[in-house]
Amino acid sequence: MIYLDYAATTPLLPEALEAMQEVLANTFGNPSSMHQAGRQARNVLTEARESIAASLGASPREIYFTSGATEANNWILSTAAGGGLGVGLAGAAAAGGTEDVPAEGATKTTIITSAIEHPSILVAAGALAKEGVNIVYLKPNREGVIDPAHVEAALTPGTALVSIQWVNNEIGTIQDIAAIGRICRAAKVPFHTDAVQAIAHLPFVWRDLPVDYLSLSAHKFGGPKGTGILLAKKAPDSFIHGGRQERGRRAGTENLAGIAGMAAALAHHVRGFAAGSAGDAGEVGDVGEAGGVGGVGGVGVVGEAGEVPETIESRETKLAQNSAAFLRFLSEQGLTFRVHGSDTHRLPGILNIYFPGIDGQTLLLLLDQAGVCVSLGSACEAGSAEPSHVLLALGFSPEEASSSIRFSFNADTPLADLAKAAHHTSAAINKLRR
Amino acid sequence: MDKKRVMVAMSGGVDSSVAAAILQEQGMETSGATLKLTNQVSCGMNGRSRTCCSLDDIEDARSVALNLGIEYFVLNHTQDFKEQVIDRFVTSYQRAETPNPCIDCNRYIKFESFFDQADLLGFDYLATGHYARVKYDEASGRYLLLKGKDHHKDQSYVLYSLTQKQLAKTLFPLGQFEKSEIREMAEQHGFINAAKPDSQDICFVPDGDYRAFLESEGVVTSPGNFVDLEGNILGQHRGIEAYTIGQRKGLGISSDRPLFVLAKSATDNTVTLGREEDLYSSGLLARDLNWISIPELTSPMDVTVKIRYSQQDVPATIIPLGSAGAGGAGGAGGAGGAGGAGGASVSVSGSSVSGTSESGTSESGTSVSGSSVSGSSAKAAPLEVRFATPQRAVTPGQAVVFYQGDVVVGGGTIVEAIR
Repeated sequence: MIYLDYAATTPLLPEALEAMQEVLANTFGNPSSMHQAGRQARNVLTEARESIAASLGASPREIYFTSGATEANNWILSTAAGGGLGVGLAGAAAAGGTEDVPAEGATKTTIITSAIEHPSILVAAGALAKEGVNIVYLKPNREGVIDPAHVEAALTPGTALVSIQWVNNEIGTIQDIAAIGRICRAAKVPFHTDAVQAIAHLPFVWRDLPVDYLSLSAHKFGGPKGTGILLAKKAPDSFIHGGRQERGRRAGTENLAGIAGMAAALAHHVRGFAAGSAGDAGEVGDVGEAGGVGGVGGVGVVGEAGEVPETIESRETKLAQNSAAFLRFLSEQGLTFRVHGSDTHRLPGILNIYFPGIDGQTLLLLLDQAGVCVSLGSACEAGSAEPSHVLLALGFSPEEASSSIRFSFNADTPLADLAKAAHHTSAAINKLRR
Repeated sequence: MDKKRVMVAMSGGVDSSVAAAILQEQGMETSGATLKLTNQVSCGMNGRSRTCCSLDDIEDARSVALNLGIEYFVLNHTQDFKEQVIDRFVTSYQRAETPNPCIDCNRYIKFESFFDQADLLGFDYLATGHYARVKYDEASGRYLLLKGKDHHKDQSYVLYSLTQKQLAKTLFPLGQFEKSEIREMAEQHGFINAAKPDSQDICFVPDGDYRAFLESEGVVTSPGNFVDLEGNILGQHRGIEAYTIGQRKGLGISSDRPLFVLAKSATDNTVTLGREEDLYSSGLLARDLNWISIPELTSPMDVTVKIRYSQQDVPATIIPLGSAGAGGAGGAGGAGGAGGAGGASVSVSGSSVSGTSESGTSESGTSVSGSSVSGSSAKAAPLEVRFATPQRAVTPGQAVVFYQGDVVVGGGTIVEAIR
């Protein structure tokens, strides 16, 4: 099998597996229990939280564990609309002129987002719209780039939240999150980004990032499925009611093994980041003052001596080489195609390719038969392929959208596999053209 | 020996599940697929109530496939379903017909776009859970479509449009069985859906309210006149789409005798009412013909016919009209290809009847719609069916299927009744 769908999910990193096995085998306690079994579990949780905080350059208190980015996205949108960010609908109505309500007294009834967000934003926004929240969908240009000036132009005193995806999951376009964040800061509007595809590809230090809320999902960077984080510079309102977990804002006994696995996976990537930027593999804790990377010691990440650590930069370079090689292989097969999205603002690991006149669904199935795993837009809940709403929003026709396939790479994908995949793609397309 | 590969269209119901099981047991390399036909289960968009291709059904099919250990896919055919089935359904109502979308779904989706897809993917056969049989006839060199052994469940009526090319690569594993045997097999396999009831309604109109569905598709129904056979106005109707030939209830007209819907006309937006005996027709005209046991009909032939799905076939004679070359499945001539709302006026041309000397008995002048659109009407209705005894409620838009014994001779779409 040649797996070229890393934007859908990634295999579990060995250190994440190890961390999870350790917890599953040896830590069964409930972190909320007072006794020693509980305290041991609580320690694992605290350790993971501190490790993640260190990896991201955040304070442990800014981390809210969720079941994934979808939950985090739903959380931030629904609480923003409900006044949970101190500035939303209810807040404005109830507080009637307290500190967060603008002098004009306008109620904050608007969420600004884009037309190319992940369904966990778009569908959640759609549900809020039915409740009377005004949703503004910014239109990207044909390359999928949102102009920060459009965000600025859309801001009104009634804006409760801006939510823009950092990297698009279907076409890999990178948005200028810093610029958008600064605009929102100036306007005192909370800014959220869905960073699912950015983690482990675009290095950042949370405390330096002009972003108030950020969602991530562990399984996109070598962690387990079903675990994610809402990072929050200011505490959001409670989302799931019940026990006192996550400072009373997200009740439910923690997914301890998942969280430990996520911490280990994140540490793996950040080790590369720190090593790359500091030029010194030893300075792992350099990421932020929290410096708690030592806390992950238990999961066996730190420093096998003598090994040259992979860095984010070296990984992204390899990814760029891989995607360039794949495009070259496709050209050598004599195929006609076009890559969607931006040449300059794109994550190298995601290639969404349009093959004129080819039914993408059948191409996907033929590639699957040849052992090549790719995807077509987002998967629907039923498991069938949908024409990409992202490509439609970029102005492509339904025919173009359903003739496009997403290939997403791993830095470690061997060139020989890419050549094989290009060959199978060509064979499948020739079959479809007949 | 190479195993033959078969793709089974699985709806999540009992029949197609057992069809997959039978093929698997016969040693074929079996895969299953459910076709996603509407956006009713698409990513959280417009959540209508459950349908035949709902998420629950997909999960049932997935469970059965897992139970059997076969590969299972969900394939998106919403775009072709919209164009080939829903749009035709809407257009047909606008033409004052009563369509049968299941036939279009079989013809254009299951046995055309899905069939071609399976073919491309290297499958030797496509199989469905229909109660029908396919047999190769050495003598004529043709693939024959036969009724299912269980005549109560026979579904050959909805399959009359299959071409030779399609029949050659189609399997109906249930054709040899009774429904009761199929349920038994489902229970033996422990299928999750063994006790599931048969589906009844049109899958994209699960609540049966096709009028609301038409409105949601943008059809504007305009009230018009109820008239009698002489053209006298009897009252106001709510829009022709709301009525079916033979309907008696819900007309809102008081009369000393029970009144029935005899005909509908898109041209003058009338619904013709009359007595029950006026509902009976001596024959009908048909278009969009497909021939299965014969290459084409060149001279009159005695057959039995079904003019609706749930009906015993009755004796009739089929008579080719005008130029003989009009047959063939692809020949969606005239009205059939008219697509789009604009096609409404093409319909139901009464004129062709009088043109054919043979049908002198029919009072075509009084009939149905009486549309004045003439032109290529003989081509639009290349076939006449003459019943041995008059038949009740011949309904334009429904299929008419011809049989000789269990063998399907062919079929077409009813254009109009001949009184």
